[in-house]
Amino acid sequence: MPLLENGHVTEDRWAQAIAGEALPAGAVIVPLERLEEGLARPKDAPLGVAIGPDVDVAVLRPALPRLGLVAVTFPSFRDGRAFTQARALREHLSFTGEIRATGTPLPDQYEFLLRCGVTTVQTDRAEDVAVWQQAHEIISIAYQPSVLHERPQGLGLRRFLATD
Amino acid sequence: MSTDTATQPVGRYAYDEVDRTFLSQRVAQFREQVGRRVAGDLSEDEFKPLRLMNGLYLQLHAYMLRVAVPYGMMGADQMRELAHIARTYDRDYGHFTTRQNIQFNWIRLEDTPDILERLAGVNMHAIQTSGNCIRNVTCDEFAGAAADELLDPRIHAEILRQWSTLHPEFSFLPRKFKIAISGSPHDRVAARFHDIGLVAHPGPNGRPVFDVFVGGGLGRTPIIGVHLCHDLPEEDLLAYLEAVVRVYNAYGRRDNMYKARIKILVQALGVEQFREKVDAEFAQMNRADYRLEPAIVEGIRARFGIPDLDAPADAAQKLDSDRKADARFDRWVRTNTHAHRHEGFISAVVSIKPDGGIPGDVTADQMDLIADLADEFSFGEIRVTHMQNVVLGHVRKDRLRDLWLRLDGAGLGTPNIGLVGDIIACPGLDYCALANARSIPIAQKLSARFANPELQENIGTLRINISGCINACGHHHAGHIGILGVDKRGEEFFQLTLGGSAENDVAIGQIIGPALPEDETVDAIARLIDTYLVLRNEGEAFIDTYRRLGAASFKDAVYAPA
Amino acid sequence: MGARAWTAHPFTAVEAVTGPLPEGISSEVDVRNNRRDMTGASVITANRLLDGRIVWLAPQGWSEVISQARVFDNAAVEDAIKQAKVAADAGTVVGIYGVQLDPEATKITPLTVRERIRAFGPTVHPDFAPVETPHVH
Ligand code: HEM
Ligand code: SF4
Repeated sequence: MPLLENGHVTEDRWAQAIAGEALPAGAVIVPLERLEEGLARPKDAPLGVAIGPDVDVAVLRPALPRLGLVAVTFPSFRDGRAFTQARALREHLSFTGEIRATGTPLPDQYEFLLRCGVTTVQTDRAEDVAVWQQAHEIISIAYQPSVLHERPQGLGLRRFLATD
Repeated sequence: MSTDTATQPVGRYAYDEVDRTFLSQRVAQFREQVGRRVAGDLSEDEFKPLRLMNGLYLQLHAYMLRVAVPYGMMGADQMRELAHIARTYDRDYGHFTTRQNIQFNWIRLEDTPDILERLAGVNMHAIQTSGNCIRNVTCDEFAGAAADELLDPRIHAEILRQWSTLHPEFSFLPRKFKIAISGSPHDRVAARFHDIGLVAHPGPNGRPVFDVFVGGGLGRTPIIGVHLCHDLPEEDLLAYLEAVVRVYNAYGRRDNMYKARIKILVQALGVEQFREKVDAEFAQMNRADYRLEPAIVEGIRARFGIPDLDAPADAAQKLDSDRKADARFDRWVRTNTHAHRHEGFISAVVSIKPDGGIPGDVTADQMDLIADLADEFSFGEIRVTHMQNVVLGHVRKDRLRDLWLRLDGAGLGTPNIGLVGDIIACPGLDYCALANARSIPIAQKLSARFANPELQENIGTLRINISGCINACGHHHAGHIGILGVDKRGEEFFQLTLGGSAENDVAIGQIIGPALPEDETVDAIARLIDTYLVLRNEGEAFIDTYRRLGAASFKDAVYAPA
Repeated sequence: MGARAWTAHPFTAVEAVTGPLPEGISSEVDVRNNRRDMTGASVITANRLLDGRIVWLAPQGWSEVISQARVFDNAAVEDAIKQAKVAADAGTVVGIYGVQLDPEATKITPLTVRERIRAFGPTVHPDFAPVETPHVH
């Protein structure tokens, strides 16, 4: 499936680092092991990092001001650790760049992804983008705070979700 | 005495338009997911977690739908809808579970969206009654009524229900997550056998504070929960729970599902290190976002209906004279009622354990009757208990006998609460795809054998809990006598454990010896009880005698030649 | 009960020492369900997707009653299961596996208590036994 942002297809301006090859000049996503190498590039070269689900995002703290993207991953849709990583990036580390979900999350998890701070999704799944868009729009109410700071509805912790 | 349950139901939260919109969106979502599954766009593997999050299992004979009864509270209107569902979509009955849910055993996948729509019509749902998420929050069955209660835990149970509903971060945890909450010093929720157990009491400034227990559970590794936090202030309740569940989501094992519960993580790290991680998470959270302001709590509280407790001055006297006049009624009052905070009222327990019957099973007609009686006698309010019984919380003492006559006439007046006949049993091999052995027939044989109410009262408090496999849905580890079904080459065997308890004297039952064949199990338990009757001291219950003498005194009785 | 000479029929699959697999984790069929002897005969079963009802592989299609099931020699049943899983109607059922039969029974009867309950209904509700109908779905 193409890259998805807020339920819409969008163009991917990021290249992936290729194992065994030098990093390209433009925007590139490196695996965590090559973060130093990425940071050694010129300061204005856009840099992203891809982390596994077992990484404590606190290790990114020193590099974060230089990072434009963090890719978290779902080895299986059942493995929900990336939700906590994304939320920690936003809430504890105040990361404002792109958080990209990779791997095989389900469209039915889309709203959860967004509410944990994920901005783009790149999955290996085949569904039509419309299924994702629908998953995003079908539920308009939530019952707990999220990093999106949605508009409170008045009663309890309820809030309305944006559906654009 | 009936009230308008549509606007302000007694004992539970009144849904408003926004809550109803949410439920109908959720039903539409599930309808669409079922559509994708039937069309082949979702594999069974992908669909399974989605249907589980809507309470739909594939069991032995058919799909099983587990409907949540949040904190065990429901209204007469809701009970009638359950009766309707039992008649229309199932085989005229439902099964109350130990986690304050009701299960239907013969559901069709294709009917499920319609059933969920009907449930939504009475503000009920099956959300998160299964799956690796935060499950239905359970509560004290005498909440808001019990004389011994310090504060009513249902308001916070509702807040937790809302907070955990479709929680974006905690819907794909390593494993299921169960929370119980109590506001009484007498543990009636098995707080220390839950992933998180909360025990509330009033704090110094009048707002509640919570003792937090974590990492308890039954299943294949029974563990008693550890005390994680003392007197947690109300305003930090959600932040603290978020911190606990986040630590679990990040560090809980995902490589081995049998070691995936939070209890294993707490044991692996040790409580000190676990607490450090929680505290570290808590310290860096943006706490303002999670603060549970008194105004929020009071806003939720205002949506709870309050029973108008008004009884004639001589209500208690009338009950006394009714009891003197009728020995059978008197016995039922002794065993099946619980003291109410108001002197003119009492809580009545309707036993769903008839002699020789199936524990927890209620027919559609019985559901309708319970609904009618709730309207007539208890403000339309019904509670389901973690012992698989039903409670009418606020019954006027002078009307208790009328209630009992109606129950008794319908076969719902069995006087056995807390006694041998009040057996907890999971569905077992008759229904459950995971089972090793049948639980229900053992329960039926035991309760038929000890049907005599005098004998039961003489034996006294005795909790017999039966699980059909190591998953322990029947809480066998927490039974004074626990019975666990095991599979030996396709045949049923039963292992006995002694000395368990889920109450204040919490303990895990100890295995007494090799498993017994099915046809010897009931006799062995009868010999166990006979042995207790011989060995007991004045005033001792089974558990007391067992604790005084130890397992050795009972072992011979179990393994005596038949 | 207990009289059967089990030692003469070693299971090919490991015995279920680890216990059952809870739902929601893996779609793999529980090994207990699928175990069988080297010799003997089996039938093939599943649950129907749309209503969840238990079905048995019949000479044509899937039947709701075990008496209609096609009986396979245990030497042939693995292949038959594989075929059933890729057949045109495989998508209409879930969880296909083989069930060992009791060689001493006169009618088609599974060997284990579990599968007998699946075939003949919950023992606590004889009224819910699958109804014998002559036709195959
Ligand atoms: C019939 C379908 C059911 C299935 C497939 C099922 C499955 C399971 C499983 C797999 C576990 C073990 C979880 C673990 O330790 O990781 C479990 C535990 C439990 N279940 Fe069930 N269950 C079923 C019905 C019930 C019923 C009817 C009850 C209540 C009578 C119940 C209440 C519980 C409780 C209280 C526990 C143990 C507490 C704990 O450690 O979480 N379940 N169930
Ligand atoms: S204890 Fe085992 S047999 Fe009983 S309901 Fe739970 S999973 Fe099924």
